[in-house]
Amino acid sequence: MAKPMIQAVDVVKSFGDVKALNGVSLSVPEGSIHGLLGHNGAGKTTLVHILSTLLEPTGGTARVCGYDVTAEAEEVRRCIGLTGQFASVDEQLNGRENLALVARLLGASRRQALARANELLELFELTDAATRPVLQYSGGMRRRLDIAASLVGGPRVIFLDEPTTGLDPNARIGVWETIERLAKDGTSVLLTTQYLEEADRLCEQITVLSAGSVVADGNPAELKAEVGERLVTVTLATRSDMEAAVRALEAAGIRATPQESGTALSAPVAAAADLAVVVRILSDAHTEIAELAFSEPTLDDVYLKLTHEPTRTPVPA
Amino acid sequence: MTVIDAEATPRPTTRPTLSVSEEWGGSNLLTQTLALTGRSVRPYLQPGVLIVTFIEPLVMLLMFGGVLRALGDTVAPQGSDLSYIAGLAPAIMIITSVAAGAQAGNGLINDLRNDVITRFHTMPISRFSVLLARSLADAARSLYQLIAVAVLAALIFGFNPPGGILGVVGSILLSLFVGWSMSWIFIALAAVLRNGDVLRMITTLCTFPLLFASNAFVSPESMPVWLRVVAEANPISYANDAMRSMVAGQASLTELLTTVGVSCVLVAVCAPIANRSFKVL
Ligand SMILES: Nc1ncnc2c1ncn2[C@@H]1O[C@H](COP(=O)(O)OP(=O)(O)OP(=O)(O)O)[C@@H](O)[C@H]1O
Ligand SMILES: [Mg+2]
Repeated sequence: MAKPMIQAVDVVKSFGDVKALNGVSLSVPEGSIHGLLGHNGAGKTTLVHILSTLLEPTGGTARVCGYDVTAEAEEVRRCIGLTGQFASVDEQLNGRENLALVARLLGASRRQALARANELLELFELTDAATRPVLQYSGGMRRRLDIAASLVGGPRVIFLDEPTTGLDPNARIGVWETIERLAKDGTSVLLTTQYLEEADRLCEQITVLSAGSVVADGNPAELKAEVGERLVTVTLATRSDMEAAVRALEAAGIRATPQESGTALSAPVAAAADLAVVVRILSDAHTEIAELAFSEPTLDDVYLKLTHEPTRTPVPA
Repeated sequence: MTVIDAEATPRPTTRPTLSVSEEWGGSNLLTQTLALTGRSVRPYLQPGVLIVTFIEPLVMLLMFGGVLRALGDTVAPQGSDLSYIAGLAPAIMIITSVAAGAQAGNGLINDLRNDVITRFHTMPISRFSVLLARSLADAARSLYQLIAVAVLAALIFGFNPPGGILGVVGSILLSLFVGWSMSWIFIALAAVLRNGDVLRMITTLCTFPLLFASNAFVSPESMPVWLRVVAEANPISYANDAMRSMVAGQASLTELLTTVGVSCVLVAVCAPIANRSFKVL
């Protein structure tokens, strides 16, 4: 396994009485995309802020690019880029000036800065808006400029805090492609998101936070297998067959649940191959099948299950 | 992304060279400060803002000129043959630059609010350069206003003092320096308080006594004792004395050194406090 570019060990963060992080650990290898999921107030942004040297942890250790985020913050800053939850670009400057300013601050000459700015404007399809003040940008354009600004220095590690919130579906796909390309070029990405579809598509590993603690950790497939269920949904041709169908399945040890419609029932199965078993049992019981559907578990199932555990401390609205 | 076509021609890569910043090798404090000052003065360069900034000194000149004349000719220092306007202009200059300096605190609060500073704090640059740039941006605005005071005073009131152009330029520079040093009080307050409402109240609360409990408009001899003590310790009084002497063509090295010294102490105390308290979160 590649060496970890981001490593958090038992990170704790308290704001006075509020314990935002309660011993969080995670590890992200080089060139990998790691997802951070959790409800509002779970502590995602706080963790990102600690890893990007904006906040000091109350306890535990965190290393980024091999450097300690508190003791070697300067070295960490040399290798990271942050796109925060709220766009941090200068509204008075235009798009190109924003990017060139970041490049200048990183030591680029005027010419290099301009070249890099143009390159990124192109990449994020902002060339047409390059000379307009950011004040006049739409939310999605700002977001893209913000991501571009965090890529100016070609960071080896990038933190993206809800990078696609507020983007239209096309723009979202555009950002996804960029993130995938980043990882392919060797950048390690830590991404927080509320969109499970996004985490499913992009992330190799996912950490689910709830009220400051890790409640699950693994790749999307593992998480689904661990928590979610594969379901077969059978719609019966005759409503009156329902009782017989349920009885037949339960006799075979399959827990069937009639749905509210009264004509369909669903039953958990181990694999797609078990569909045949269900069909055979039902035909043996002389019930006619109108429709048959099979569904894989989704990250939504995982997420809802994990973050709605009864043990979870309620989060004030 | 106005139109995204999955099949579009391949776009440039995210990392044209491996870690560009390593190749660039970082920037020094001077580059950082200049780049950030350029950013901070930008809002002041809008045409509307430039006009209002220019009118401010004009209003002060007309208002204080009129009001103080009505109060009697208390402005010119005793025994000097300075014209009325030559006595008034330095006072207007110093209040202009102190007011501009007081503005620096608000500027910092605004920056903190719109999250730009967050990005700077994740970058390998000196955090102090961000504060220094803030103070310099407001000094630049102050310089523009000070020149406006001199030009308007000359055009409207025939300001043509015995100290000549050298005396006027000297006054402008001294005033600029004092205003800049005072801006550190407000930058430090902003960094510590991080709250725009409280800061504005404190700023108003500080600037009025600072301006009026001085010898800028009224000679301290005519003040109650407690006020006279304040006025005589006030850096603005030192600056005003030194500037009046320069304008009168009788520049005094002692006055100059005292003023510059007091300002330096102010920066030496406030800048480290500001730097230490300056956090984004
Ligand atoms: N500066 C602060 N002072 C006090 N409490 C804070 C501070 N910052 C965050 N918190 C608290 O820490 C907890 C975690 O907040 P955080 O912003 O990390 O959540 P999040 O997972 O990013 O939520 P969201 O999905 O809404 O962005 C919340 O209860 C929040 O109120
Ligand atoms: Mg957040």
